[in-house]
This record gives sequence, C-alpha cells and structure tokens, in this order.
Amino acid sequence: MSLISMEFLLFVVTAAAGYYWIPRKYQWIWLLIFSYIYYSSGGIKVTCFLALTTVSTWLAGIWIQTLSHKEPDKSRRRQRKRRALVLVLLLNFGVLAILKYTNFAISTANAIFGIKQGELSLLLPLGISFYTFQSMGYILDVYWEKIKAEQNLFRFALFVSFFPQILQGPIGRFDKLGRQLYESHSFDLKRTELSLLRILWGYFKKMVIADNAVIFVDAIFGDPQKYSGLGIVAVLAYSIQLYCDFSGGMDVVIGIAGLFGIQIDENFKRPYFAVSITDFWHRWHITLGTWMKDYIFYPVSLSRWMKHFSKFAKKVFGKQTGRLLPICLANIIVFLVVGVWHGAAWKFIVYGLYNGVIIAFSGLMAPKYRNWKQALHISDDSLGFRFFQILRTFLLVNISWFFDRANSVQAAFQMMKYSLTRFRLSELLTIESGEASGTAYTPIILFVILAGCLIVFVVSLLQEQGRDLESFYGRRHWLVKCVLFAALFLVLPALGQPSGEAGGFIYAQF
Amino acid sequence: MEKLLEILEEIQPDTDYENCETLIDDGILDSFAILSIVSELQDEFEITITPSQVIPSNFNSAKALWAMVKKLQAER
Amino acid sequence: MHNFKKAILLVVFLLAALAAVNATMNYALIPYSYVRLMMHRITTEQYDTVFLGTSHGLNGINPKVVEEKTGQKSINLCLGGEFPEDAYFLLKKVCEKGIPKTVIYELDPGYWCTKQGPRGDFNRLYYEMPWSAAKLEYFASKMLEMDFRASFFPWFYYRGQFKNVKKNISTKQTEDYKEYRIPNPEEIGWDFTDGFVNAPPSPGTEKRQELTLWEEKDKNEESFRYFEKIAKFCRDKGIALVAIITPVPKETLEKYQDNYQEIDAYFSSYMKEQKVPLWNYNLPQRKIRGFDYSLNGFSDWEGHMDKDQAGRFSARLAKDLKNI
Repeated sequence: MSLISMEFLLFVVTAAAGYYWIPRKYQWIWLLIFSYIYYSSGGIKVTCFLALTTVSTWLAGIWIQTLSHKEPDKSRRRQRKRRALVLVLLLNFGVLAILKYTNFAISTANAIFGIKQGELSLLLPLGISFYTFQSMGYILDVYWEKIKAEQNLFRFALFVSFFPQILQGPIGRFDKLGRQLYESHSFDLKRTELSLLRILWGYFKKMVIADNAVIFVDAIFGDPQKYSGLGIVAVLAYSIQLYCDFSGGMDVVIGIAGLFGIQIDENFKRPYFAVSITDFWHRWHITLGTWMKDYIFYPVSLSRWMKHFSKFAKKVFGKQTGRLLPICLANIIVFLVVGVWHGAAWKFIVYGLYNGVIIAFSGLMAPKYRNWKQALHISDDSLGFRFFQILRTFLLVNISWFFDRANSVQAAFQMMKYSLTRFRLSELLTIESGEASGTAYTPIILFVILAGCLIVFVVSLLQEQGRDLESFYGRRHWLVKCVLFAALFLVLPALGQPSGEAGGFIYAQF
Repeated sequence: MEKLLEILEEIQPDTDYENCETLIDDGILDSFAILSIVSELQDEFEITITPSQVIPSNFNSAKALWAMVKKLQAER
Repeated sequence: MHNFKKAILLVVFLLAALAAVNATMNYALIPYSYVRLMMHRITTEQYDTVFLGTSHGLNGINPKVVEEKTGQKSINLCLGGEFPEDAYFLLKKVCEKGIPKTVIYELDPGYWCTKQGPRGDFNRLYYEMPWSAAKLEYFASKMLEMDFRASFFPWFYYRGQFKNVKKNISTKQTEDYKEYRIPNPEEIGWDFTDGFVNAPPSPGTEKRQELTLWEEKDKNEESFRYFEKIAKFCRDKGIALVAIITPVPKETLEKYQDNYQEIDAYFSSYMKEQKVPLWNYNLPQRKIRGFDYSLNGFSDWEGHMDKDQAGRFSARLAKDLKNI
C-alpha cells in the first residue's frame, strides 16, 4: 500500500481506532494482524521472505540464548554460539544480497569478461533492507547477551513486521521497540493530536516541496547535456528533494506509530546544519548510522585481526597515528557497506568511499586540527567558524549527492565540471513543469519550493536552538490549531504535484 | 587511575575527566575517541575489550571506565 | 471527558470547515465538462446502443447519426483517459437505469500498454458520477489505490485553472448549466452538439505527431482484466458487444506499418479468444466510401477525426451495426 493512497489512510484510521476499542492485552496481536495485512497487500510471495527472516531469526535467538546458559565449556559455548550466529547471518544477508545484487554482479561480470549473461527478474520484497538489518541487529544483541531472546514467535513477528517502519525504516532496536510494542497503551488525546500534526507535516514536506523539486532534479539529471548550465541547481534541488522526501516519510511514519502510543527513533536531526561529515552522519538516516556503528564499526575495530593491524601500525607510524589507522580503516569499510546498501551500482560504491575517506581523514587529522585551531585562536563556539563549518559540510555533502543521483560515475564528474564551467541560470525557466501547461507554471513552482524551504528552515532553526515547539503549539488557541491543520491539509492539493507512478517515497524501494 | 586519566587527556584534552559523568550522553567522546581509548586501554592494561562492553554505562565517566578495566583484569 | 467531548466537537468543526472550503474550490476550479451531461443522461434515460472507449471515439462517433440510421437510441460515452476499468463501471452505471441492447467498445491499444495516470478525464468520471452501488464499487476498485487527494480534493487536478475561476462560476450560474443543456460552443470552448465532441475541420495545417504505440512487453494486465469483465458482464446481461478500432490517417499507417500490423494480429486473436467481434476500420475490407484517409481529415497523426469525418464514419458504423 502506497503511503499516499486512500486505502492506506483508511487502513491507518481503522487500525488506530480499533486499537483503543479492543481489550488492552490483545493490542499487540491487533498490531501484528494489521502489519501482516499491510505487508501481504504487496503479494503472498514476498510475505514468505518476511516469514523466513522472522522464523529463522527467532529460532536462532532462542538457540543461542540456550547455549549461553546451558553449555558449560567456555570455548565450546563460544564456538557453537558463533556457528548458529554465522548461519542465520549468512541466510538472511545472503537472501538480501542475492535479491538485490545478483543483476549487478551479472552486469559487472559481463563487462569484465565480455560475456552476455542475461539478467534475472527477481522480486525485491518491500523493505527487505530495513527488516533484515533490524532482525540481524536483534540476533547480534542476543549473541552479545545485551538482550534476552524473545520466546514468543508471534511477538517477535510483530517486531520484524511492524508496519509503520517496515517500508523505509527507521531501523529499530529490540530493547526499546519491543518493550513498547508489547505494552498496552491507552488513548491520549494530546499525543494523538501531535501525531496527526506530525503526519500532516510529513505529507507537506513530501507533496509540496519534494514532489515539486523532483521536477527539476529529474529533468536536469535526466539530460545533463541539455541542461549543462544547471548542475548546481540540480544538486541543490536534489538536496531539497531527498531531505524532504525521506524526512517527510519519517514524519509520517513516526506520527503513525505515535497514534498507537509507540515512539520510534528519530531518523533526522536537521542534517544540513552539520558542522562536519561525521556530524552529518549523526543527523542523516540516524538509525542506519547507529546500526552501522554498533554492528559493524565497533565489532570490526575490536576484532582480533584489527588488533594485530593496530600493533603493526603503531610500530610503523608511531602511537598516535598507529592508533587511529585501524579505526580509519574500519570506518572506510563501514561506509563501503553504506554505499552498497544504497544500491547495486558503482556510483554508490564511490558515494560510500567518498564519505568514508573524508571521515577517516578528518579522524586522522583531528589532533593536528586541534593544534592549528589553538594556534590561530579559533574557537569551536564562535559563530563565524561554525557558519564556515556548516557551509563547508554542505558543499561536501552536495558533491556526494552527485554520485548518489547522477546516472553514472562518469556523468557525476561531468556534471560537476559543467557546474563550474557552464553556469547558466536562465535555462531553469525552460524546464516544463506540468503535463499540458509546459513552462507556464515553472516560476510559480520554483517560488513554492523556495517558500516551502523557508518554512522548513525556520522550523529547523528553532528546533536546533532547542525550542520546545510542541508545547508552543499546545498552548495556542483552538482556532489557531484548527487553521493550522486546515492549512496543512489544503496546501497538499493546492500546491502539491500529482506524484509519479508508484506515487511513492524514494526510500520505499529499498 | 592516574594512568587512565593521562590516556584520556592525551586522546581528547580539555575535558574535566575527574568529575564529568556524561562523556557519552553529552557527546563529548565520539566513536573515534572511544575506539582510541579502547586501543590504549587494551595495550596499557593488557585486557581484551569486546563490543558488548562498549556501552554508555562503562564509558560515561572515568570512574566507570576504571571499574571496567579492573573487572576485565580480574577476569583475565 | 470534557476534554474529549471538546476534541470531538473541534474535529467535527474542522471537517465541516474543510468540506465547505472543498466544495467552494470544486465549484470555482472545476470547469463545466460534457462528462456532467453524459452522467445526467445515463441516470435519467435508457439507451439501446452505448459507445464506450477513448478520445478517438469521443471525436469520431456521432450518436445522432447512428440513431437516425439504426433507429436505436444511442449515446456516446467515450472519453479521453477512459481506461477499460472506467468503461466497465460506466457500463454498470448505465445498466442501473436500463440494460442496453448493444455496446460498442472503441479500442485504443495505447490504453492497453500504459498505466492509468492523470490525463484526460481520468478523474472526472468518478467525480461526476452520482452515488450508487456502481460508484461504490468504482471507488473501491480505482480510488482506493490512488493518491488520497484524488478522492478528497477533486479540484486537485484543476488547480492550474485559477485563471478561469470567474468564467467557471458564471457558467455554473446559467440556466443551461442547471438544466443540463448543451452550452454555446463559442462561450464554453467545446462543441457537444449531437452528443459528441465536434472537432472543426482543419485541412492542410501542421498536425501534432505524438502518439503512444502499442508495446506488448509493456502490456497493462489491468486493462485486459477489465475488458474481460466487460465481456462477461455483457454475456450475462444478454448485451451484444462489439470492439472497434477507428481509422487512423494513412500517413500514420505508412510510417508505423509494422506496429499497426502487430496491433491487428494481436488484438484480432485476443478478441477471437474473448468471442467478441473486432471491426478494425484500418483494414482494406472495412474501407469507407467518401472517407478522407489523409491527414486533412484528422486533427493529429493519432487519429482524432474532425466532425465531418465523424459523420461519414458514424454512417458506416451504423450500417455495420444494422447487420449484426
């Protein structure tokens, strides 16, 4: 079910209304049923994949926990636990890899070996990247004895399939999410009101800003030669589109979970205010970043072979650098995975490495930067310096967007080159913005995008400064609240665009 | 404990390690710093730190870190 | 409890306010369309012959000519943007008033290999249809999957029309509008005389060349599924069903020869399977005497006839209908 479809709205209303009518102890069952209704609306075949991950992970969790308690011999315990872990990781990541990356492997092999193997038509279960990561995080937590395994298969199934987040995240953790899913919740008017507001805000960002921005993104990235003067506009529009689409989707999803009294993790924290690429990844797709940190970055950095590398590096490069090198290497590995996670194409690998290398480099240089800043009397707190850092980061992020969105690595480089050599803003008004209206409405749409961005910017700035916008809203007069709700509702058809085919959010295809 | 404070000061100076109890919660130590600390602790005190020990409750203060080090030394 | 009651009241107030604004926007932005006339006619009168299909049929089939020649009360319900799904529910709506004897479906292969989308009158049919069992089924089948704005805010697809608000409102105040009479073509911009959209002849002018060609690999399963529903519905109700393909300019046939041959082969065999006669008016055996097959007789390469051509085509169509 598309997040903007009529049936989805009716589905959510029914689910939320029923949730508070039924006896509290059955609430989690209600959620489970609705989550499976939601998922199976995409097809029975893909639901089997979801079931496979659910059952295999649940079984592995119980088995590993049993080994932890029952196996007396320490090294045998470690060995058997590890075997079970590796099996379930291979199975689930294997399925994900095969479904997502087989055709990429085939086309790469074709290019290298000059053969012509045809690509397979494989279905990609909805949200497979998200629910696989979420489940594998669970099993690793059980393995490290950070959490207790869930004994009830159906309760576990709810954790894997919880419908608001299955399509595009956020990636949840069992200790925080599971507890809330199984608890009973009573109706809270204020929470419902704020959740509805958040849902509308998300639709506003997606329909009014992202859907309008995408017109320009698609036109320019689709024909970079024709619009060679607009590289900068394209990447800025993409910055806007990607943020509003993805974070808007998150607002909708977080709002929907809130209707059930369940608080899922934030995935965005005003990312364009980041002062470094490292900071950026603490603010953009936050749950992917923390998942990578806890399940790849730390384990890889603390692994035995990394320890050996660390000893070697300290001998060769000295204590400080030698200590940092393994961490930098692990970081690059993490971002390689992040790149690959985004898609089966070389440009994503470049995208990942670009981010990884920048962060690794800044980690390596951190002690030196500290000395330079001290010598130049630059304070981290000074507004001027902070402003410089934000702009610098925004520039670096936009360069990475070229690799994310352009048709190929080659196209990305060419567009960047043209951005500097062929800047021609006037081409912007030649882009058609409506099925039949040609370029007549293009100036209006540009204005709508900018106005929308201004609104989002002001709200973000207030949030960044720590203002409590929720209680500010709560204290307003009821008429003001009504007008706000009505305005948000009406602006969606008034200034939005009919969405593309799937009418979907970008990240729903992962 | 002095050695521990020395290590912390060297990796990330200008923080009051004697009194601060929110090194992780307030974002004073980032992942690179945490892993650098782990690397030094492992070398200096000859212990092995695993991912399950890299949690906020062990890293939020110098005291908590020292307790973790002592525990791992005892288990060795 | 007091808080809760107050909240319910506020929600009701908000919804009422939204409904009022929505109704106003619909009234101001949505222009007067012949679809409204069509809907009024099928809910107030019974018809013997019903034409369903796409914009080719809308421009090319003159129901008055057919009616005069066959003696069967006829109505043209073809529309741009009418997919087989829309035609199916239109037919169901028609049958709520009375079962017709014959249904002619004008087949445009472009609608069988593309997805439904915001073009033509695709949302207008739903908007203008009065509520009934057919509309409920239509809602469940089509509107549920669509963007919620299509259901809640029909004016969404007309928001670019804000320049015409004054004209829309004044048109809706006229007696013609309220009495469901055909408006003055010069004032309204479309000519629905005789019950179809009359396109003025334009010989010798430059014609629009964009067309959607048939691509089997892109076939839209839903179009096929709904046509089969139409066929079954007609069988069950004892309605005679005929599929037709309207003539296209000979320049188009020459330029896309392979494609049009493929269309003929594919759809002849498909209609044979469905046991529905297919009359392809591009085949030599269906040549129409006096019909101008050059681009002069059409308003574009795709095959939209001008009104004189429609008259000739409809006369031949009527003759063929008399012989079934």
